[in-house]
Amino acid sequence: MEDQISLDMVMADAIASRYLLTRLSDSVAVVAPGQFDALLERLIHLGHTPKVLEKG
Amino acid sequence: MTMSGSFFDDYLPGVSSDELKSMVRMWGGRTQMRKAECIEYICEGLRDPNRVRTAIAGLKPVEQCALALAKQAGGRIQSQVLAAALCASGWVKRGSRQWGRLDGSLIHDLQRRGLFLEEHSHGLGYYLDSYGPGAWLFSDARLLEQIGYPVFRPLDIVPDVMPSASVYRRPPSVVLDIMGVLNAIERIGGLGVTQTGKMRVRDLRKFEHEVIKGGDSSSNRQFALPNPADAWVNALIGSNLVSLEGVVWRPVGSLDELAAKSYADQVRPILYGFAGATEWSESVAVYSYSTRRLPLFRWALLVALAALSIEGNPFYRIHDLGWALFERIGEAFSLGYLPYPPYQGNKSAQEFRQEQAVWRGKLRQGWKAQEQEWMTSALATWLYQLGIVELGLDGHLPVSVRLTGLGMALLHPEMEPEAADQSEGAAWVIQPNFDLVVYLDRASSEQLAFLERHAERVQAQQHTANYRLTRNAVYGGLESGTSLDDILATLRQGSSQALPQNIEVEIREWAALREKVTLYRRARLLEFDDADARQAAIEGGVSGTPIGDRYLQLATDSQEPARVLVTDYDRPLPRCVAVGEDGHLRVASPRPDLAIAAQLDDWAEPLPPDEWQLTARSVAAPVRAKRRIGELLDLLDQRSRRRVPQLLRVALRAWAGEPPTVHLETVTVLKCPTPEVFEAVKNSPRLGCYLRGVLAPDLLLVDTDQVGALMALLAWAGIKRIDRMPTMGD
Repeated sequence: MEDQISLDMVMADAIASRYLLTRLSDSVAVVAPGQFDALLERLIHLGHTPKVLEKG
Repeated sequence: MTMSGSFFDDYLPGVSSDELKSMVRMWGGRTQMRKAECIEYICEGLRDPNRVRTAIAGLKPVEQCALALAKQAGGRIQSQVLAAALCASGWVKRGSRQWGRLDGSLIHDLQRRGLFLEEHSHGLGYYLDSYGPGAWLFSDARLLEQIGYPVFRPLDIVPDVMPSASVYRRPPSVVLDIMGVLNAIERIGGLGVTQTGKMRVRDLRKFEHEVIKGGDSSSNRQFALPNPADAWVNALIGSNLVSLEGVVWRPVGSLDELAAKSYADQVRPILYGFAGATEWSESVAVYSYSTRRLPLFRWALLVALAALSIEGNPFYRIHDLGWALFERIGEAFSLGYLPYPPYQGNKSAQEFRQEQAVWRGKLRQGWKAQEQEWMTSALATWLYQLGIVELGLDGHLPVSVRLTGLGMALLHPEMEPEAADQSEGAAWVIQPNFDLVVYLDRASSEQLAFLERHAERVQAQQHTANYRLTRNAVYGGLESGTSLDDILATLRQGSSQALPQNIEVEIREWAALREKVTLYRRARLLEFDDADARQAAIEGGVSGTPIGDRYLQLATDSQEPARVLVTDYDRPLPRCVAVGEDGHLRVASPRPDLAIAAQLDDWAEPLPPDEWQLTARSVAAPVRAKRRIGELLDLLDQRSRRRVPQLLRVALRAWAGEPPTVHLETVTVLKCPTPEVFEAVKNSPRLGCYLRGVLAPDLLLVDTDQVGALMALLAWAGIKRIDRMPTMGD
């Protein structure tokens, strides 16, 4: 995420946080295995427009 | 020159000698040739383009027409469809068109001539299928390469007067529909199929919703497709615009690739997709069991339309067109019951003529009731919707028909294509409220494809379409690979006026918003013991983005350092947890992946380092938050080094609110170590009323309330009682 607050807000969402495995830093979290598409859908539902990259 | 498609070479060894001897004659071979010689001779002929040209020039018109129709169908065509189309072409003699004679000769003759083989059979003549479109035939790609466009004998019909009113659809509207349905399939993530090959109902419903939502208001409602979602799905599957990837139908290629083609090339696959649809009907006049035969009639109708004289592009009465088609195919094909033709036998010529007249009368009756009505529906639904025909109206009823410019381009490919009818001027106007009005006669296919991907279509009229620029649509466009600059530039190019300032600012903001959250499908992450170790690795040449204190996201072009433990999170994660019957969990150190700690934290109380404890309270909390206990059991099954203890599984279910029940009571047991004594007591009628059952080969369950009476009887029998029962440890 761009900053800590943004990630805090996503983690505060009960559904989105279920798709996140662990937080590595203020603004970076690991997506739970197999939950990528569910998280993407949830983020869009929450009003985010995530940039999706295949590799990084 | 490269050629795609099938070659006969691999199939010929499966064809019988007799058939091959017939096939080889086309190449100048002799009937005395042996099988291997025939095959070699045919293959040689097919390899030589000059010999192919000569062979084709020597074919009869019906044979050339058959090859040309197969080419139009993409190289393969079903036998009954080909037979019906050939009859409609006017090249099949009337006497050989009757039911019962046609099947046995027309297609088999084409095969014996060496023009077609069957896809799933090595023999010839297995194509008979009275109730459907027949077996798939294919021709050699080298024959098809040399054959031209199909030529049909003109239908002998008098043109009608010009109607006072007519309707037709313009190519941009048609293309917009095709792009709309392809985009809808992409949007809903494809159309899945079940294990039995049926389309998933849930996906069909989503698709139906999208098709109805994006319904084109430019087309006359009277001439709408019945069951539009079914119609499009059937037509798309029959076209080459979608393909089955695993168990999901998805569009082939991008909308931009489709848009780069001419209107005719964009519509052609869908036209033949509709023609070949076997599970959708355009007319209520067709019984459901006959829909499999509809491709025969649709192809015959396309041929009939192409066989109309186009000089002066007059209208023809639909009624006349139907009866002209009857004259060509009515004795051999029917959507309903086809009466068998009379036999001559010993009848006099007059009797036979009378019987034939009666038979033809029955055929005409059936045709009028069913095929005529079906044909009007076909013209007034998919052929109108695809912009192939212009309908002349009497009031609201379609009574006459002629080909549109697009119809000419598709059914008369031999004619020079008309120059694109594109007006000068801006393609659209963008309003400050994000509405965008498109002038369809000015917009190119590429521009329409761009709008389908980067804006939401609100409605479409005959000459204009309305879109709305929305954040989600622009986001979808950016995600599909378009850059912000390209979006703004294309919007500017299509407009005669400058882009409203607020629109540009807003689109830039939407694009910036996208930069705030990034999701990586496959990120490569390095975990170090501490920040110093990470710094040392960076200084050693490992490049990437530091995350937190100990992590480094590797740059895409960076190599993984040697001697690292790699965990692929797309595969099953390591079994690293020792699970105790008391719910104590111990994780191997160092932890092999990032997931395990977070996964256990959800369900157990942490007891650092690397240990957790499952308790009634720790399990009940996530269950209250709607988590299923099955998730925890699956997690333990996947990550546990050994089988999860049965008692713990029972306890976990109980803690999650699924307590099992047991019955507990104090009982008295009589143990008889000597088998003779055990049998005597068990079988005694006097003692039987004091016993409640047998627990083991030496254990009897005694009625506790009657222990005294039992002991008295045992004492009477001289059996000595020892009070202490040996335990498991004794």
